[in-house]
Amino acid sequence: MLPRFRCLVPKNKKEALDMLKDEGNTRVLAGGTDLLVDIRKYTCCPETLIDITRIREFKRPFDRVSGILSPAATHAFASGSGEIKQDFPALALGCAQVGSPQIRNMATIGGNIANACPAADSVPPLLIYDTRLTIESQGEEREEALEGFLLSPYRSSLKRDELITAIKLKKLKGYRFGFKRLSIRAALSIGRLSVAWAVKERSGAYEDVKIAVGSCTPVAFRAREAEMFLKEKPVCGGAVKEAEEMITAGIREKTGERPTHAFKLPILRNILTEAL
Amino acid sequence: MQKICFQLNGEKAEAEIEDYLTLLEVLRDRFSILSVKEGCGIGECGACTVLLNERPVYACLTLAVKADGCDVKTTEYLSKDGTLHPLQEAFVKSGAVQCGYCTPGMLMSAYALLQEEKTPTEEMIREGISGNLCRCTGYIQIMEAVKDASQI
Repeated sequence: MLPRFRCLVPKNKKEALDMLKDEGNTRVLAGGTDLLVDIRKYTCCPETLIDITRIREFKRPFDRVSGILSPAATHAFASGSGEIKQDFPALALGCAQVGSPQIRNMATIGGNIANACPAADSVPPLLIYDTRLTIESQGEEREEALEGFLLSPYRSSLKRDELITAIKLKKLKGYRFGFKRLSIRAALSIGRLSVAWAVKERSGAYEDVKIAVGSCTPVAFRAREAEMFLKEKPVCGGAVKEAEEMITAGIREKTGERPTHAFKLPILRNILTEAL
Repeated sequence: MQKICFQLNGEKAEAEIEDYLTLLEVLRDRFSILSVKEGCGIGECGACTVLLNERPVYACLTLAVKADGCDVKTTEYLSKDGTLHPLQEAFVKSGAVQCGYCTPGMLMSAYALLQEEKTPTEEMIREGISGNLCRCTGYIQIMEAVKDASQI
């Protein structure tokens, strides 16, 4: 049995923001696939949960014209929707590999972002689409890039009374995309390494490359230095190897030497060689 | 306390429940739906799988308040008047049931898959039951059962 708490179910955004302001020890409940496990293990003991999945403004999972995903959109939606597969294929690939069908049917993209788990599978794909978040609290609204929003494992810039209300992705034209994830077994287990990429080539050279890596560092990151370096470099040549070196050196710098590097870094290099 | 109204196996259901109860607890304790098993309690084993609006979810990780206004189906929905559903028959024939603890959850995952895809490939069956653990059969017989049921 779960410890006791109240669960409020706001019908619209305003109600939810008022509740977040007025209530003391609250947590936002979306799919609940992480939160209820934490509550059960007593690693988190809220008095009140605010279930945001019935909020009227969040009902429509995706607006194609603006590229805005609802924070309550599930991973099943993001991996199965024809529109997402077409417009943001790396996101569809990433979300298809989260947990199991049962988890994907409940777990939301907003929850995956807000939980700020370093191994969140939707995050590297969202990073390559330069995702920006709209964050609201009672009477206030701000916008922040996902890249800066994630601070450290399970910590983000989200304040106690704030709610992610929109997830805006930027469409990339003329790119090829991919996502690869490494884990101990195929289903259910947490990702040990995840990479998303978008590559645009022009006459044998890289016009633009976007690479995001998850589960390797405290926070998933965009490999900006390597991306800049690859610009205008010929596709066939030593540039990719050099870029890989930059990325793995960057990881070592952020985390220090880790035992898992022995398998993670060579695999990361192989994935990048294949991708690029 | 909250009042929830939902469809349970095709019939109207209502309950006054505490906010912190899971759908698993409410189904078992208030409605005597005993096919829904608690295994791990943290959304890994799949023994508590039920259909929420036709999609498989873990009842142990679903607060009962989330079922309000929804359609809930459990294994009890499959057999009618003591006659097994063809999918259940296939499980029996293939020897896909040993200790039986995972079976109701496995059936609901397989049922949801077959509702969506009449003739799933082996890969799709594998993916469809990937959120359900079975420690007896080694999955081969379960895969066979789902494949057989899809050809009926």
